[in-house]
Amino acid sequence: MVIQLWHRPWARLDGTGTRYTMLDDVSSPLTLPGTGAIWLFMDTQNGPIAGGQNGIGIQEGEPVGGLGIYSMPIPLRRSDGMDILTHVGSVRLVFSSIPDRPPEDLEPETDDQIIAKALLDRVKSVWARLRDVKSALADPARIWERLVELWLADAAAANPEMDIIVDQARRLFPTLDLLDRAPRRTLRRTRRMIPLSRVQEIDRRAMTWLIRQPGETMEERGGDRQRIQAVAREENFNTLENRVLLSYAKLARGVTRDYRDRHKTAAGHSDRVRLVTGYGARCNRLEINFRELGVFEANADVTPNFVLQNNPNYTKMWDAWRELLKRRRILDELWRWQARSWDEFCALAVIVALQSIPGARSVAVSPLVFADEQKQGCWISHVNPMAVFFLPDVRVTIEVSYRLRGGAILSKFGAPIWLRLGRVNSADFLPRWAVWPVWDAVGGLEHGETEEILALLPNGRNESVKGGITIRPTADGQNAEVRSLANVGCLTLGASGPGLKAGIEQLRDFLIHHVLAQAS
Amino acid sequence: MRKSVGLDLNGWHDFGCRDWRVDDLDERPGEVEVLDGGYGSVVVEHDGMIVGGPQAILSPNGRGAGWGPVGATTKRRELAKQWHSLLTGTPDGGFAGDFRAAVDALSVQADELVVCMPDRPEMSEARQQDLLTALTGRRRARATLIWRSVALLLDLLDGGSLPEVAEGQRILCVIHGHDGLDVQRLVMRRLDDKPGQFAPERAGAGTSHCPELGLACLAEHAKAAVADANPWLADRPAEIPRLPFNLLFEEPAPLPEEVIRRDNGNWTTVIAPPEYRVPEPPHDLGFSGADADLVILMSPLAERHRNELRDCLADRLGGIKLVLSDPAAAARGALRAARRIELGIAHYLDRLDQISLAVLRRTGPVFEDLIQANETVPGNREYISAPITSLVWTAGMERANFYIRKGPHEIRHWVTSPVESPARDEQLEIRLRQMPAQGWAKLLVTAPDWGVLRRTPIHLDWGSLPVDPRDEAEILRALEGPRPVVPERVRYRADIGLWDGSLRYPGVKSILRSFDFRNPESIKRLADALRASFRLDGRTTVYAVGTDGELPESLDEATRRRFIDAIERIGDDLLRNISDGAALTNNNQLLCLTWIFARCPHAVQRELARALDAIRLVGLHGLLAPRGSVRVVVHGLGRVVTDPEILRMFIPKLYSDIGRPNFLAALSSMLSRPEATPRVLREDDVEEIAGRVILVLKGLNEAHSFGTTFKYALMVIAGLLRVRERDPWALLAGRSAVARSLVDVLTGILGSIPRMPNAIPNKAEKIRIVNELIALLSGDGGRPDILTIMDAMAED
Repeated sequence: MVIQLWHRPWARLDGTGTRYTMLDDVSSPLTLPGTGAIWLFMDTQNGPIAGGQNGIGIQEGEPVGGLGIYSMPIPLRRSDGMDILTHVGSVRLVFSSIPDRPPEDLEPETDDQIIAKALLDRVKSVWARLRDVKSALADPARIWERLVELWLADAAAANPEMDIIVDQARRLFPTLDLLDRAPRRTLRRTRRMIPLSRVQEIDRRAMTWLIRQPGETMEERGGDRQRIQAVAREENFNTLENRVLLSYAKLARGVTRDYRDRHKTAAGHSDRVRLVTGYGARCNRLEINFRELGVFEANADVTPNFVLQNNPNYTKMWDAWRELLKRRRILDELWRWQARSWDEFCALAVIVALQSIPGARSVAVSPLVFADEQKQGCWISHVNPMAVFFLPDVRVTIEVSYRLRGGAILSKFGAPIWLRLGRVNSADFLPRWAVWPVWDAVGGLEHGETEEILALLPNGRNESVKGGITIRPTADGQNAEVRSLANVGCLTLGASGPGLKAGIEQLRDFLIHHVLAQAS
Repeated sequence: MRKSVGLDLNGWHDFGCRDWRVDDLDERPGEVEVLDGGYGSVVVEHDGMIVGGPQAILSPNGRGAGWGPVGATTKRRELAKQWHSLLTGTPDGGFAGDFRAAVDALSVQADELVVCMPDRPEMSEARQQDLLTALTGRRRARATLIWRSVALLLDLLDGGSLPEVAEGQRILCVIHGHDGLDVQRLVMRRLDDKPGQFAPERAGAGTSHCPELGLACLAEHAKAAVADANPWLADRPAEIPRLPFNLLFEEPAPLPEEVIRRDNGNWTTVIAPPEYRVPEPPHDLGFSGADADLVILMSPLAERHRNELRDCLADRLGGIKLVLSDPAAAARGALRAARRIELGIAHYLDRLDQISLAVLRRTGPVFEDLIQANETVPGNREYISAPITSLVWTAGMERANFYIRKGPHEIRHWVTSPVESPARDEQLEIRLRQMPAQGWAKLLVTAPDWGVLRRTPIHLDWGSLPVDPRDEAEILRALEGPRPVVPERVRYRADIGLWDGSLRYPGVKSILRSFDFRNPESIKRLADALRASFRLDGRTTVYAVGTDGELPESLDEATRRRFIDAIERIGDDLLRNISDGAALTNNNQLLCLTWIFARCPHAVQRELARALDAIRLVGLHGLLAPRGSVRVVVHGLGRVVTDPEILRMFIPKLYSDIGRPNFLAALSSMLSRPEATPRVLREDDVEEIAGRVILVLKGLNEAHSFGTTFKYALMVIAGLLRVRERDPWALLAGRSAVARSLVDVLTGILGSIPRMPNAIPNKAEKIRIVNELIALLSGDGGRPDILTIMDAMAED
């Protein structure tokens, strides 16, 4: 049995031997050459053991001959690396070219940070695109039309997406304001020398002190400063509930800034951006005020006290804080599994592209169920075929399958998405196209990929595999690109804004001019 | 503002309506947005995911073999068929889940649902409850049901498209449904508490007409048309086209062809028949609009078809004004109802089914209304009945019986689940709450002063109640008065303490150890031990052998055998002596044999019978030789006889000579102890015995003798009352002349006891017992354990 480290999903068909590494043969640590995702190809009996833990990899497709493909997450910090147990020992994988997951309120300074920030933005954008499915589901009769609208809307004109922070800004503004102006405090009793006229309360120790003082009357005992020891109450704001509030404000400020930055173009006209920006400023002021009052930050693992659980205002803030922390945890997971999110995003993108072909009629579309929690980067459950469209002009149907359990020949391609074309009233075999979403930390087209894919196609002759498409993320700041060669197309796609719009249009045009044109 | 959604999921053309935006938190209602749930709607499943709504219609699930594993046809179910099965009472287990999926598809992010249901008699409380149960659950939106006819009218009313609304305006709602036209007549009413507002009033379930126009029939018609246009369909297996539905419902007119998948995975097209038209309604609709001021029509058909339907109906109904609503009208009306409910405005007025409870009044049992017949109540408020407080939960009762009448005929019998019985009679409070059209009424039984019921009131579960087949009069007759109390028989148990000497020294066990049946002293000791009773904690009397002849359970086997052996020997010896003609010198043997109650050997019992005959006829018998033997024989008989046949033989003998000494005592014992007595006593026995006891009591009263005989006479009366075990209404003063005479005699005695010159032993207790007996005879209470109390009363 072998353990292969794959750098491309089609590594099994690779003739050049550059797309995989035999892990049993290499010395540790192994520095990964590229900025792409990795897979492990190994026997399915045990599955990969990474960092001493089982069940980290997610099996993709159907195992062939007892061997399966496992998607692996990328680490949050590159220093974490990943130790893979092999038959001869353990290999440490070093992800030197993939940046660390940056904190959300990072103001990037170095190149590395700029790349990291861009990558986090892409993760968030992909997440937002997937969340668009959830809001499209609210009008189930028009899910795909709505999704096309949401994705292709002019970013500058559209209302920015709904987000937890928008909701919180709307709901919690008055509460936050109130709590900032009148935070809860505790009164601690201490003993201090207090002028006689101001004494309100004395206790046993103060009395003991008092009787030891020389003099007969109170004035005499007060001495020349006319002060005696007495109980003084000191205000203290550094309570758990205020610490939580401060931590929330800090976290929320970061999130609001990030939201504002991502929707710079909409800032002028969007109520949401304006609201969130204002909320961020309010959070900032609260943070400053609380720090002046001597409040510390709370840890994320604190146990809520009575006030946090029962005071209506503090309970709201506690819940909001938990929500934001949960959001941060989700982002962590999405960072680790961004390659799989990219797969899901591309599957939807193919359907959105088909839907936006003028005259396309949907014959069947899978029901989509949006999960409450992400599962290794994925949110959506579906059935296959995910969508079937009929194009009356060319009289061709096109069928999109995603994570299809195909036969032995198809699974060697390792393609998450398959297209299948059919002519109406024809008894021919239906030709197929493989679609590989190729996630990459940096993005942009890769030199020589069209030729590489073209070389794979003959392997699928028996299953009528006619062509292949790769979809890569756009490089930061670049627009969508396309390169095609015979029946192969390599495209890039942005996750938001013009990159997304252009990418979808490009994908649509490629589908019309290459894929569909061939079938008709 | 609540996020409300109005839903009309009829399975033919579904709609949802909302007036708020998803992902928006604006606090003001906006434009009404209509969500088209698609026509011919289905619910599909795959891998545990159940999906309804437009997604399901378009999904590949259940569309045939050409679609691969998801195409299996079991994965697709038509919602209209599910409704039909619910209304015809044959829903399979999947209804709740499927309906929930259909609702969820059109109510994303909603927290309040108003769901239309067909206005038909089949939509009973039980079915309403089924719907509500399907939609109730944790983290689910709150669901309210609304009649489709009401929703339709509300849409016009609140949408402002109803001209000249007036009090008393009569409106005929015609809704095109699964199996015909559902017709309902509503009357417009001015709301007294909301000036300027109107609401429709509904007076009962609607009716269904023109079955040939039902959507199920039209769908078949369209299918036939498509099949005619595509004759090859029958030969080449393919998925079922949706073209027939498109022909009926799609706006604008459907595309002339539909791409469908053949079972081998290839694609083909079916073509639409040219110029498809739905069949015309019949000439006689089966209903008329003569008494209506306005007719409203709603049909899910596409506009081109429903316009035609409108024209035909207008023609058939004659000159009445007819308004055609669009298919989403009911869903929109449901949303408008939700907004009315939120503002506290009645969305309609409904007549509740009359519900009455059988209660006992001075004149006898009657059905008292919890909801009056024709009670009209606002649909947005829960109706709470005036409480019935006249019922009492009697002391010692574990469960209560109620008879509830719903509507004019349906009567259900309700037995509450057992509760810890109260120590005294407790006043009950019965209330009924019902939301019109929201399932069953809730009936609640509480008791203000009784902790058990106050803490956990009893709820009525309609679904589990059997419908009583009897009619109202029969039930009332059966209910006349509460069942009179039945006295419990006297039963004393055996106790081991009388054997091992722990209660009474030396105990039967030690006597048996040195027992010699030839030794008279030994027999006397045994007899004394057996007849000695003991009162455990001053109340429960126990003997060495129980009155049913049983021995203590914990008695060891050796002693048991020794005892049985001893009894056998004593019995044999006694019988041999009698048959030999040997003169007995004492009664000890007989005492031994009769104080073991039912355990007395049958041969001895027969000998006792002969002795009794000898007493009655002044004859001679071996058993009667010793001094005081008559008392032993007669009393003994009273103790030992338990066998029904022997009882049957003795009872007449005893009562016919009731005046003889000891006979009354033996009779009282026979009536009060054996289990079989009530079954053995015949009607005429009861009459005879009662008649004679009356004479005895009269005699005693005249003689001012209230001693032992008096006690036995009272016991006989109480013993007679045990016949209520088989005839619950026997010997009731209200029904039986004998019982009345008994009450008279006892009342007379009650009057004379205080006037007695001499002191009576246990006077207070006797007065109490006589009172109890009178209560038992007149059927208002009395103690069930009266016999035991009497038996325990000291003999004087």
